Amino acid sequence: MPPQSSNSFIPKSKPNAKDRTTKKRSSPLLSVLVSGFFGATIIASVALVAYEWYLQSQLNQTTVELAETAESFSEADLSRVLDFNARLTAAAELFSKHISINRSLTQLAQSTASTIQFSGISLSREDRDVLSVTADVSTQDIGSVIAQRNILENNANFTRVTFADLQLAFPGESDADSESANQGAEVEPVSVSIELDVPVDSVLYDPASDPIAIDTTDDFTTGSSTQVSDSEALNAVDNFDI
Amino acid sequence: MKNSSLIIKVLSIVVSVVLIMFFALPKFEDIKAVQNDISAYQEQLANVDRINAQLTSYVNEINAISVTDQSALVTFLPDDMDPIAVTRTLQNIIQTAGLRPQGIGHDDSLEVEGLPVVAHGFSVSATGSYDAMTEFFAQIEQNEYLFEFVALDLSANENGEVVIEAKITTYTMSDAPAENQESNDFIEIDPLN
Repeated sequence: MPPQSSNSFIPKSKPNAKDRTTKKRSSPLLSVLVSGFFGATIIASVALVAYEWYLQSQLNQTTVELAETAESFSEADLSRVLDFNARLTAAAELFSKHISINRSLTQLAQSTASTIQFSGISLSREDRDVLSVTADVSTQDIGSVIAQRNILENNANFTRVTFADLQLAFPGESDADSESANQGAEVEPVSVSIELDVPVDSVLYDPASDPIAIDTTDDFTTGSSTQVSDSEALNAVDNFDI
Repeated sequence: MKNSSLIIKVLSIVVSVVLIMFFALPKFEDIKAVQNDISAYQEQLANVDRINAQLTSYVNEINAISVTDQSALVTFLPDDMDPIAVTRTLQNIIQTAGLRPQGIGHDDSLEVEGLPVVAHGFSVSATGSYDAMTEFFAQIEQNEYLFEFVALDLSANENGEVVIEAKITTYTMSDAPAENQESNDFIEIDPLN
């Protein structure tokens, strides 16, 4: 190789200057990026720690609040409210089915033909929704029984109306009857047992209107029911479309 | 010099990646868990507050009821029952109504199905006039205790008087809770009534 001339008129260029400049520019950019990434990571980590600390304190505060609120809950108040509610609910349920016997008897009396006499009556509540009535009645003629059956069967306040044990007696045909007739005792020749159900809704006790006046003209104990003639009984029968 | 700078850069990147992978990401999970905890606690706190407020409301409603009415409710459906006292009360009612008591007895006590109450049965027999009988029924119905007729037989004796054979039930609260009663089924109380 020929030796490089130092006195050439051609100005010598700086062959690596451009390359050096390029390398010097790229290196700080990378440094900035790397530094920025590193710094951001550090800052984010610190921020995460701080945020977690903040959340932890908030959790502690919430826990304390929950504990304090739970402590303020009064079991005695709860017990008192539950007891009162149970008592009130039970009382309301019992009272809602509390019937008036006087009202039941009045309703039965109002639906009884005047020719009918009661000799005994039984009321029972095996089911709290229904009042079952069994009545032993007597009358002078079978037409009254038919009329009574129609009255009861056409009354919406009575259900399951059943007439049973119909007995017809003819005074004078037996010794016992003759003896009774001789003694002047009033013998009703027709007797029958009536069974029916009364929905309790129709005879509920009403504090505003009970006690209610009882019409004692149909008093079965005194036998003071007004006796009506056969024609009146038949008129009653006709009224119910036999 | 160049080598050391490069090493620092590489180390910075490595440290950053390690921080992200082994610190920041787990931290995110921790923070998420804490946030969930806070949310759950706040929800429970709101529930407890709501229950406390509801309980306070119910207590205030009960307190708004007059002492007389509360006492009447306890009398109507007491915790305990003294058979002797009830028998005496029934006797007083019979005599006040004008009937002649023939017998009063205490029958069995039974749990009532579907209600947290115990039914105590009493057998009563008396005689008297029809008016006395209706007065007796009226007083039984209007009594401050809860008396219910479970069975009633009415007949007439040879003197034309009513013969009453009755099974009367009164109730007390049961110690055992009713099985089919929903605990959250509260009756709305209207203090004005």
